[in-house]
Amino acid sequence: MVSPSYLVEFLSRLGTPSLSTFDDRLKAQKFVYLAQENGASFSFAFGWYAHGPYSPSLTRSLFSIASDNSEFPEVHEAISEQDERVARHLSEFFGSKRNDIRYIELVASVWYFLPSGTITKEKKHEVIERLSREKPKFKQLAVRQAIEKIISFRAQAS
Amino acid sequence: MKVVFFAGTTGFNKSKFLEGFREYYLEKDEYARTGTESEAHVKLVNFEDKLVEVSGSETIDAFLKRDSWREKAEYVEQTFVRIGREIMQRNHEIVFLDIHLSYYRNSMFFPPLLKDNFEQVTKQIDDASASSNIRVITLIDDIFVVWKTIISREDMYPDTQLRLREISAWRSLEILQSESVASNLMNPNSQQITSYLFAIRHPLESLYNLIERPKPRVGYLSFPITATRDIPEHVREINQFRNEATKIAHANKGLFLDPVMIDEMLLDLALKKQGETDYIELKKDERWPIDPSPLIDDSQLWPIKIPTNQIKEVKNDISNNVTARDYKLIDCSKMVAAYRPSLGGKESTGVKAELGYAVQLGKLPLTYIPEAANREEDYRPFGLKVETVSDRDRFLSKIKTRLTQ
Repeated sequence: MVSPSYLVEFLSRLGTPSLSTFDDRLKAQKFVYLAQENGASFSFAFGWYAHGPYSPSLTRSLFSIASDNSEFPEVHEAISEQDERVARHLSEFFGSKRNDIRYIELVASVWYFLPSGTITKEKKHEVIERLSREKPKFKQLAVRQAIEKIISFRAQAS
Repeated sequence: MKVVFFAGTTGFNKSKFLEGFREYYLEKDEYARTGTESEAHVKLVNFEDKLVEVSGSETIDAFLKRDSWREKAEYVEQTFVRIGREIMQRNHEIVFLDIHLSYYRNSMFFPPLLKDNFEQVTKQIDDASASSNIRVITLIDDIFVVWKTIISREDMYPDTQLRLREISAWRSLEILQSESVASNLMNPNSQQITSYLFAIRHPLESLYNLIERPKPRVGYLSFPITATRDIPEHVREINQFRNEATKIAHANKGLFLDPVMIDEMLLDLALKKQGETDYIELKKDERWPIDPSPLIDDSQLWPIKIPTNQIKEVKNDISNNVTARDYKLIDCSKMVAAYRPSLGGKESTGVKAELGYAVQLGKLPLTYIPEAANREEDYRPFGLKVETVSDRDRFLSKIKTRLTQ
């Protein structure tokens, strides 16, 4: 498993990592999840929880180096070229929405249910239905748009 | 994709059995034993081999001896993630995951069961059919075979001798872990995933049928054992019934779970017969006679000499296990077929308990009692609400109907 300081270094490519607030923790979880799904060198087991894909061992790892006020120390760790690339791609994907917690949760949640490979119309419909059940706060239009964006992103990445 | 978790403790060459079973499965599905197509059809993954690879350990023993529990747990997690990724990339039709849900080393059990770990392997399965495409099967064998196998491997795995009672307890833990895995893998449609208990000496076709159908056709055979085992003609009669029932099941792509595929009462019987000696010797021909499995060659283990004190120590556990196990087998079955509960001269308490349990679960057991033809129309064996048939052919015909309903 990668060290907690490596994770913090990676997350710093996508903003200022912290665990102080719920939003901070959610962002950390979803970015690591998406990074892992895109080929980053992490191996955390993510399951589906109340706020989308979540890994208890990731939380443990991050909290292990956080201070009492849930801030991270300054770290200076080199990350691999592959992981730099993944961080860049994710940064481009989110663009100005890098701090939009709701959007990050939406994308991670859609990604979790969207299978790899060719996505048929029926599959898209299933994912929309599934998200409507699991996350009714997300409008169907937003889910559809996230699906299309993810499909396009995956196609470019391959 | 279908995923089958094959759990089970060490001590009965589970991995070798599963390699052989995979070949059997491929042949049944008309695939060659090796090759890309066969690999795409059925992939066998050995979790322990992957864990050793991921952790960079020399052996599983070296891994288990590591000091840090947290580090070991992380490697287990990484292994699940790695397996999940590999499965996703190759898109196999069926995956057999050969796994120990519990290791016992240095007097400690490991690892913790985490739902998310198992979901790395199952999350690629189409949700709509998830419950029918996931199986959790705990493979088991007689604990005296496990005991002897572990001793015979002492040179490969030093300091791993276990007492019979420890093996029995470990098996109970493994079964419990399987139940936890199955419960936690319940899919979002709230369809339950059943954890099956399967003795490896059953016919291979039974295991194939347990996996192949989306909803397995599983029945349970009940018959007197204690009162009949020392009477050869009764044993022959019961075995004939067992074989016929199994044939019917196989012809209809089903299986019967058979209580004599585990015969640990042999320990108690041997203890009674051989009296107060330091060691009790178990002989293979004293076991309830069953057809040999093509994948199990344990001839070199017999006779099995066990310290008497270990058998005395485990006596009550065996008795408890027999009951719990047979009830569990009934839980997994859609029907119970009981053969001549009074064969042997008196009503079998074991059959009575099993019928009573099945009735409690609402599974109307089917019972063959030839003497019922001379009884009142509303005759109820043991006072239980069971369906009684006095004609043997009709009994077998009803077995087929019930199993395929």
